[in-house]
Amino acid sequence: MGRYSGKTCRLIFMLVLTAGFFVAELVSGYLGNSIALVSDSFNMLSDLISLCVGLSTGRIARRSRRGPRATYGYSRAEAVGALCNAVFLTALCFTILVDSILRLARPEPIDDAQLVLIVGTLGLAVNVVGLLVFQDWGACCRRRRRSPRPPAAAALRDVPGGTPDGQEDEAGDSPNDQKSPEEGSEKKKEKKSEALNIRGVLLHVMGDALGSVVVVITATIFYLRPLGNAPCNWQCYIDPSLTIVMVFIILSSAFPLIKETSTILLQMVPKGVDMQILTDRLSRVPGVSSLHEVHVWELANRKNIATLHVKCQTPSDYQDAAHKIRKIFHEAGVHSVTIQPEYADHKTSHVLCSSPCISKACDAHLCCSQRELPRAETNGYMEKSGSSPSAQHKDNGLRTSDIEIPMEDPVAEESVKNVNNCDVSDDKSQSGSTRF
Amino acid sequence: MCGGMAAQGPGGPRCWQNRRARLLCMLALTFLFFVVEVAVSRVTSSLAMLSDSFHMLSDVMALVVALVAVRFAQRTRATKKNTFGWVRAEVMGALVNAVFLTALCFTILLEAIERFTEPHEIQQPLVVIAVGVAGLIINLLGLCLFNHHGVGGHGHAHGHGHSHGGRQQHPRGGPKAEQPPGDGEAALHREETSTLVENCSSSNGVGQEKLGDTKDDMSDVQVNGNAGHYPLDEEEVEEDSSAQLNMRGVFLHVFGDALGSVIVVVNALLFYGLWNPCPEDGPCFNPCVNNHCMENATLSQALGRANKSERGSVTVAGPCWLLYLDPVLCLIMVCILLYTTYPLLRESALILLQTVPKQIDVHSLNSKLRTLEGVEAIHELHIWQLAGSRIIGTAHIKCPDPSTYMMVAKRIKEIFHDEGIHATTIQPEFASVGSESGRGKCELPCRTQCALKQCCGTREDCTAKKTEKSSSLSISCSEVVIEFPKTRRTKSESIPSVKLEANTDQNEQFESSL
Repeated sequence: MGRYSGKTCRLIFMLVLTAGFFVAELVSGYLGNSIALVSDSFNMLSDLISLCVGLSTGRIARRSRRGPRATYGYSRAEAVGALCNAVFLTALCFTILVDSILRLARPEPIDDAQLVLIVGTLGLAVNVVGLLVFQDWGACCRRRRRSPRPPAAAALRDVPGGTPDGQEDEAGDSPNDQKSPEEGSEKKKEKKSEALNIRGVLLHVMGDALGSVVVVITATIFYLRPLGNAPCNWQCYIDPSLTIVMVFIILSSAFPLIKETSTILLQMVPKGVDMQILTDRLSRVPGVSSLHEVHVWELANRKNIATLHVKCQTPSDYQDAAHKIRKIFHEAGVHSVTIQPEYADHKTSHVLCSSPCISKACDAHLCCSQRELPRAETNGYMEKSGSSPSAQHKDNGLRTSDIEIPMEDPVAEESVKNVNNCDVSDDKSQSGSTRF
Repeated sequence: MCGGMAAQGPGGPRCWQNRRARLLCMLALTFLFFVVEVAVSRVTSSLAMLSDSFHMLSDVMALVVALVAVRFAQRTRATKKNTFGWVRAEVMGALVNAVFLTALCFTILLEAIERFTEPHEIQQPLVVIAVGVAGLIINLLGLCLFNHHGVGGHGHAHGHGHSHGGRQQHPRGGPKAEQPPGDGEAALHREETSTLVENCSSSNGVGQEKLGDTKDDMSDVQVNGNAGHYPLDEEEVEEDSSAQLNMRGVFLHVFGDALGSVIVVVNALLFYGLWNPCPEDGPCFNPCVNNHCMENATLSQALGRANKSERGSVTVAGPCWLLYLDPVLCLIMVCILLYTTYPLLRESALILLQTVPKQIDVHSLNSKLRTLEGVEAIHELHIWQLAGSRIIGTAHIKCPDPSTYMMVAKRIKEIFHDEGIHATTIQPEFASVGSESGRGKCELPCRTQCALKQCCGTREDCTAKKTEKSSSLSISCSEVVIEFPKTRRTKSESIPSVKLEANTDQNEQFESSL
C-alpha cells in the first residue's frame, strides 16, 4: 500500500461513511415516516455520486497509461470529473431553489421536529467530518511519503502514470536532485490549487453541510416553539429563505471551479503564461525569422504544452535557435515544446506557414485557419525584416512541397508593413548577427 | 435546410445563424410557455403544474448554455487568452448539457420514488391535460427544429474521418474524385500553385462514413471541400461534429421534456377517465393513501361501523394503480433519457480528454511513419481532436541529417493528411554520434528538473524493460540530455553547440508522474 495516495484513502473513507449514513437515514426515514429525512438522505446520495465521480476520475487519471487510444494518457480526467461535479451541483442547486420557491408559496411546518433535529445533527456531523478530511490536505499522508527514500529505488518502484498528487509529494523523492528554489515555490502553488476533482467533491460536501445546518436551525426553532395545529407563521418561512441563501453561497463557490476547469478543457493559455511577452522574447531569438502557430495550453495539473512553427534561414540557425526557444519556454513554465522548423527564402511569405497541410483545401480542418491572418501580436507572428535570404539552404525539396499562399492578401501585406515598422529598432541592434 | 443553403455556394454565415436562430426561437417559445404555466398554476393553484413549469425552465437553461457555446465557438481566431480560438466551446456545451440532463434525471428519479411512497391524486385533470398538450406541442416543435442532430448520433458523430482509400459511400463524393480539379478550383479565390490538390482530392475526397441519422449536409460540403467544392466561409463548415454535439445536447433536453409532457398528458387522461374521486361531502375512504398504520386501523374501524349503518354511501376512491402510474412512467422515462444521454456524455468527454479520435489508428500511423526512408525513430507522437474535424498531431521525428529530413518532410505530412490530421507540428531531431538507433531518446528535452512537468515523462517500462511494448508506440522519451552533435551536421560545424548537462548514461531514467 505504499502506492496508496492520501487522496484515495480519504475518498474511500468518505465514501463508506456517506454510504452508511445514507442507508441509515433512508431506513429511519421510512420507519419514522418522515419525508424530510428521506429527502435529506437523497442529498447524501448525491454526495455519494459526486464522491464516486471524484474517486473514479482520480483513479483514471492516475492509473491509465498512455496508449494508442490516448496519447496523453487520461490525466485530464480529473478536470472533466470536476466539471461534471460542478455542473451536477449547479443542477441540484437549481432544483433545490425551485423547491424552496414553491415552499415560499406554500409554507409547511415541520412535523416531527425532534426526529429531524436528531438526524439533521448527525448528518451535519458526517458532513463536517467530510470537510475536515478533505481540508486537511493530507498532512498525515504527505509526511509519510516525504520520508527519504533512495532516489533509484523510488524511480523504479513508482508506477508511472503516477499520481498527480504524487507530483507534489515527490518533491523530496524526485531523483532530480537539482531542486531549484523555483521548484519549491512551484510546489507550493500546486498545493494551493488542489486537485480539481477533490475540489468538486468538496463543493458537494460543503453544500450538504450547509443544508444540514439549515435543517438543524429550522428543526431547533420548531422544537423549541412547536406550532402544533396553528397555521404557519414566520417560522415556516425560515427554511426556504435560508435555503435560498445557501444556494447562492454554493453557486458562488461552484463557479470558480467551473471557470478553472474550463480554462483547462477549452485549451486556454494557462494562467501563468503571458503570450505577449512570450512571443516577444521568442521573436528576438537570433536565427528566428518569424514565428507562427504558437499554441500554449495546459494538459492538466500545471503541465503546459506548447507547439510552434519557426521560420529560419538555415538548419543550423534552427538548431541554435531551438535551444534558446526551449529555454524561454522553460522560464515561462512550459516544459513540453514541439518546434517545427520551416525554411524561408525571399520568395516565401514570412508571415504564413510554409507547410500547412499538403493542400489548401484542408484549411477547414486546421486548428487555425491560414486564411485568417492572425493579428501581428497575438499569434506569435513576429517578423524581423532585416533577415537576408540565405543562399546556402538546400531546401529545394521542401519548397516544392509547400503551398505558397501568395501575398495577395491585403491583410498580410498590411500586417507585414506594420511589423516592419515596429521592428525596425530591433533590427538595427541585431542586424548582421544571425548567430549568437 | 442548412445543407441546402450551403450547397448553393458560399452562403455566408447563414448556417451558423440558422443554428442560432433555431436556438433563439426555441428559447423564446419555451420561456413564454414557462410563464404561461406559472400563471395558470397560480390561477388554478395547482402545485403539480407549477413544478412541471420548472422543467421548462431547465429546458431554457439548457438552451442558454447551447447558445452561449455557439456564440463562443464562432470565434475561431486565436486570441491572447486562447491560442486555438474558442472552437471547443461547443463540445463543452454538449458536456455541460449532458451532465445537466443526468442531474435532472436524478431528481426526477427521486421525485418518482417519493411518489411511490406517497402517491398524489391529480387535482383538476382537465386543466392539466390542456396545459400538458400545449407543452407537448411546443416540445414536438422543438424536436422538429433540432431533428438534424437527433438521437441517432450514436457513434456516428466522428464520421468526418478521411479514411484512406476512400470509402465511396456518399454519392456526392464519388463523382468529384474523377472530376478535374479545375472545376473546384474555379470556385477558389486564390490560385493554387501546387498540384497537390489533385492528390488531396483523389486520396481523400471521398472518405466519409455515412452519418446515420445526421443527414446534415454541411458535413458533406466539408468533406467535398477537399474534392474541390471549396467552402470559403469559415462558419459554413463549422456545422460539423462539434456543433452536432452541441445540438444533440439540446435535442436530448427537448426530448426529455417531450417525454415528460407525454407522461403528464397520458396520466391526466387516464385519471380523468378512470379515476373515481372522493366527493366533497360524505365519508370517503381512500385505500390508496396509507400514511400510518394507526390511521388505517381507525379508518377500517370507521368503515366497518359505517358499513353497518349506511351501506353504499361510502365512496371508495378510484383504482389505486392509477396513482402509481405516474411514478412508473417517470421511471421508464428516466431510463430512456439516461440511455440516450450516455453516448453524448461519453463522446464529449472523450474529446475533452484529448483522446485519439476513433477513426485514427495510432499504431498504423506510427508504423507508416517509421517505414519511411530516412526516419530513424519517432517519439512523442500525440494526436488529439480539438473539436469537430480539427485534429491536431505532433511528433518528433529522428533523422540522420537535415537534408534527409527535407526529403521526407513532405511524405510525413502526406501520411498525416491521409489520416485526417491536418494541423501537425513535426519536430526533426538529428541523431547524435554513437546514440542507439530506433526508439529512444528525445534530443531536446527541457532541463532535467522539469521531468515532472513534461507532458510525457519517462515511463517505468523504459528502465529495465526496454524491449517490452515494442509493438506499442515509442512514446517513451527519456529525459537524458545529451550534447548536440558536432560532426554530423553539414552546415553548422563552426557553431559550438550548447553543452547541456551531458548525461549519457542510458540506463538512468527519470521518473515522472503523469
